[in-house]
Amino acid sequence: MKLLSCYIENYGKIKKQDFAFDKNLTAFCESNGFGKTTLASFIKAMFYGLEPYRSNSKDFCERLHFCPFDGGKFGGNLTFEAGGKVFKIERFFGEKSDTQDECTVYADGKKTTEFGADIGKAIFGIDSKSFERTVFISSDEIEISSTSSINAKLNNFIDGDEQNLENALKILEASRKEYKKSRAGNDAISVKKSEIENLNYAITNARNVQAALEAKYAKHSANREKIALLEKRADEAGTLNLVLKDWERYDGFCQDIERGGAQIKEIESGYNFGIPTLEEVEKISARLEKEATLKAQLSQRAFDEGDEAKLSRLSEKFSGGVPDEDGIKRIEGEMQTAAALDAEISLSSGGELTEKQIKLRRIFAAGTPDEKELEAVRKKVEEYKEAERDYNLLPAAAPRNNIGKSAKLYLIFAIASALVLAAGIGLIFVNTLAGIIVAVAGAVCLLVDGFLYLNKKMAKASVQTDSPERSRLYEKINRLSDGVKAFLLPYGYFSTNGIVFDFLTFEEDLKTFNEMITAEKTSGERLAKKTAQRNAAEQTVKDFFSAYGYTGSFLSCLSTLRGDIAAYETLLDRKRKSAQNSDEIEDKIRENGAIISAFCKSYHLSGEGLRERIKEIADDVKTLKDLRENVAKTRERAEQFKTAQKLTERPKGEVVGLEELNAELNALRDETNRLHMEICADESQAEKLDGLLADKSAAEEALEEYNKKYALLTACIDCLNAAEENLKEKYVKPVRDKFIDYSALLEKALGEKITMNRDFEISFERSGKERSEKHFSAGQRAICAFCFRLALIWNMYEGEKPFLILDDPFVNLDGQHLERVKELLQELSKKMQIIYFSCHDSRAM
Amino acid sequence: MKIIHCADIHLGSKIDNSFPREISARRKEAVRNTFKRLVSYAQSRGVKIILLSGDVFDGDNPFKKDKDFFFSVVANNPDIDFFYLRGNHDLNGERGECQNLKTFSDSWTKYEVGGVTICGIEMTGENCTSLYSTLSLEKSGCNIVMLHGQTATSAGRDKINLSKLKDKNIDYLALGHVHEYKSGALDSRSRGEWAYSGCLEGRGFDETGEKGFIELDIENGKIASRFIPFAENVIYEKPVDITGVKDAYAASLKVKEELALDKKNVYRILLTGEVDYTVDDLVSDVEKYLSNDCLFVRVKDKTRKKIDVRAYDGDTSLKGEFVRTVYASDFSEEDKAKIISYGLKALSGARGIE
Repeated sequence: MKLLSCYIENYGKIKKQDFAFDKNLTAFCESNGFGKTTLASFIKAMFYGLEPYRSNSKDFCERLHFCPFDGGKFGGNLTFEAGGKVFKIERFFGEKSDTQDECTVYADGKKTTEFGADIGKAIFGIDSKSFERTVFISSDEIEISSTSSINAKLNNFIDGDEQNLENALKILEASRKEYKKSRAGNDAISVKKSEIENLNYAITNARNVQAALEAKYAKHSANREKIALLEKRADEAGTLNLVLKDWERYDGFCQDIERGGAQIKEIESGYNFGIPTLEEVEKISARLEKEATLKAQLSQRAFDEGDEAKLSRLSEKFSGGVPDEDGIKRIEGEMQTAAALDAEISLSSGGELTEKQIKLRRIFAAGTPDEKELEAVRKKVEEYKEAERDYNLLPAAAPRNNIGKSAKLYLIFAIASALVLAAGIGLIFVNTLAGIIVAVAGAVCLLVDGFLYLNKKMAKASVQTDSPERSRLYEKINRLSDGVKAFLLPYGYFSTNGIVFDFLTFEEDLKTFNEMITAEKTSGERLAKKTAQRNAAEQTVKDFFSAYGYTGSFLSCLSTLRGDIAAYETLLDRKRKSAQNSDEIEDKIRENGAIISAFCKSYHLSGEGLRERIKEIADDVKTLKDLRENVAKTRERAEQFKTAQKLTERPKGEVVGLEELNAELNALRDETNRLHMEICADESQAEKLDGLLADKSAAEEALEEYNKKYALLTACIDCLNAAEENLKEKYVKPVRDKFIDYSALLEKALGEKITMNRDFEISFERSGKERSEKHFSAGQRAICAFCFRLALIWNMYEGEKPFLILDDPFVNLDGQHLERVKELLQELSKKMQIIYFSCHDSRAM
Repeated sequence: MKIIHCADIHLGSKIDNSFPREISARRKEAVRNTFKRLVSYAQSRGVKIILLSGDVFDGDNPFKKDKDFFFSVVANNPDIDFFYLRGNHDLNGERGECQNLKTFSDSWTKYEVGGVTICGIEMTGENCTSLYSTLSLEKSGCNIVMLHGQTATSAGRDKINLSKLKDKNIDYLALGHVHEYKSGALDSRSRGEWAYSGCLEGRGFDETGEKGFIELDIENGKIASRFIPFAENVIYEKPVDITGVKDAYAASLKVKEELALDKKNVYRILLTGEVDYTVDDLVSDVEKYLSNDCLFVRVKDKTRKKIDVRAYDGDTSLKGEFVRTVYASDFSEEDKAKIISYGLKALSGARGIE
């Protein structure tokens, strides 16, 4: 590839200027300010364009730097030859932004887009930065290192950034750390190992439990056998005990039979002449009873002495004859007449007083007023009525307060009434009736006084200030009222209805009282006549009963008389019948005695105390019968029991106490139950063994997989690193070799043996020790960098080599080194185009 | 007359470790339940005889709860006679004392039930070769013989030489020991059939397929047998070729397409074939996608990861160099594929590379 020419319209200080380039070496040796760096920058800008200006950028932007101060179109064109074609890149730039940039590429005079937007990258295969480090060498200090872009170009990495080894290693390392970290912790392998360890513990425990089960089964089985044995023993002992109990019961029956037999013998021994049958005994006993009854009948005659005395007394009473029924009825009629008259007399004599009569008697107990006194009061009442009428006819005046004038009078009257009341109460203890009357009078006076006081007070409250006439009448009314009240009060007549009403009531009551007294006098005369009639009837009845010796009330006399007549007749009849029965009883007693005697003779019994003896015999006979029956029944039951319980042979041995055996059995059962529970629990734990083993198996499988993956990831990382090493070895070596070739030319000048490693790090050997190129001088480093660039270019571009722009890079070289470099450049320019800029003749080519 | 022939119940047996804990516990419970169901089935069908051809218990000293369970089931079904022949697992175990539990010993024991002779012997070292010569059955009878062992061409401990049982007047040889249903003709003539009922429930991925018992129908001295699948849950192991699937979901669809999954059953699915190395998380994702279609599923990834190594031959980039470096290593082909898969994914910037 060769640069042919360029035209700069405006770029920095260069304006409308053409430059032609030699196909080998084009040297520009111009003083400072000529624009060498500007031209070098222009050539780069034609291929890679210019970065847009950014205000926040720390670097001084080339666009801003080379933008013409005095305006004009910013840019130009560059013509170069590559691959047998002539290309022209025409670029114009905006002041700050790249949005206004224009770029046109011509191939053999025709527009072409074969390089796309990134022309430099398309032509050189490297970016702008890499371009600066390879084909563009300035005097600035340059690093001896490659870029990823250079490496990519060197390695011919087709995929560019995708093949980011560093990133790939990071990804792999991250994956690997998921399985195992340098410090064991929560990575998958550590976690799984821990899980397996825990599972192993659980498995061991489950196995231990399982292993212990056999002993428990054996113990459980042994216990079961022991229990069966003990149960058998208990059953046998129980059975024996039951049989012995049956025999014991059977023996009890036998003893009862023996005891009964002995009692029978004992009773029989008392009857040497035979034992009468129960029937015989019962018959004799009945005979004896009959004998006693007959004798009792005989001794207890039907008509005894008492009856005789009674009959004698009644006979004496009725010596004059027993009154007939007509006589008795007549007397009954007299009794009824007397009773009727008596009732009438009782009724006429007043009987019970009415309440009103009692009240009037009490009011007028102290006597009634005489007519004169009554007339005077009646007159006052009339006057009062007249005065009140007149008073009411006069007009009323303004009210006035006139309370309190007669208060003392009322107070005195109240005290007097209270004293009367107290005296009455005291008198009750001496004379009740008089006491009550006085107390009531006192109480009534006290109440009347209180009533009148209040009434007056109210009346006075309403009294109005009257005219003199009206006042006079009012005074008169009061005076008359007080007079009438003074008359009525002792009789207890007072009310809110006024004195006129009270006086009228008094007069009516007085009239009633007087009438009552008059009526009482008239009824007394009629009563005397009826009393006489009644007394005559009573005397007739009294005389009748006296004849038979009866006294007392007529009714009781009549009742006694009737009873005595009945008793008298009954006694006469009984006396007659009693005389007939006595003979018959004596005959029966004799007949009965003969039978009893025959019985006694038959069994040699004494007649004395025969009744008691017969009772004893009867008891013995009954006892014997019961005993014989009991013995027979017991014998029957014993046999039945023996048969039912199959008691054939009495077993040997005694009743065994089962408490101890049962206690042992229960203890063993408890232990066995506990063991059963333990076994169940242990089996549940042991049963988990399968699950645990399954978990362990799964965990081990997982762990194996993790380890495998970890190993594979490690292998992958190793392989990637190895591949990288291989690549470096493969692609860096030619660069290094070429560098050594170039540096060998300069080595003499440098005076050092220079080497380069796989990472393009240059070192030199001094005093037998490898040392970094940092120890070089600036001139030496510039030469190394130059050689490195040449080596890179040589390897990067296998086919057509690109041009080399040198922007006065050897400012730091001394004359000797510079001469060597010049020779090298002359030699190199035969193989590649070199455009060399310098600002001093000493460095001019 | 109906008779049920079952064997190898293995009460108290451990369950396959590959099952998770809850499935393991469930399977264990299913072993008990299925025996109980079997007895209920017998009751409902009027079966009066159940033949237990060995290994009722998984060991001589089973858990007490398992013993209690078994003897309780027997005791609570007094109208069924249980003929319990002990197998190699429970040879020294307890026989129980139920009236309706008929047991056998190390010499031939015969029972006559309803015109059928049921005869059995518990095989020991002492009788394993002599039992053939000591067996004597009436030709005219209907004879059922119970044995526990593996059919073989020679006689020996736990071995049953079928050829030596030929022409012994056996109508039905009720065998136990093999955990899957098998049957065959005993005699060259029409008479005689041998059969393993298999176990009632599979306990792991080594006991796959239908499990159950054999129902015998005896009429006029002739025995007709049929296998009744009875397991609560059937365990299956099936390979499924998922070549070409793009992701785990597609793989799960492929599995569903090839297998009629049943919610009651347990599956182990072996994914085979070749898939692209970018197809990730096959095992966990396919298990997740299938978990609702069955009781339990375990997926094993046996696929080959497809990486076109030749595509990187001329690749001078790090990718190409990496692939070549891995392939030059001593890792197994499977590991190489995984390493390349990880590396390429990492280089492409993918997070969660596995």
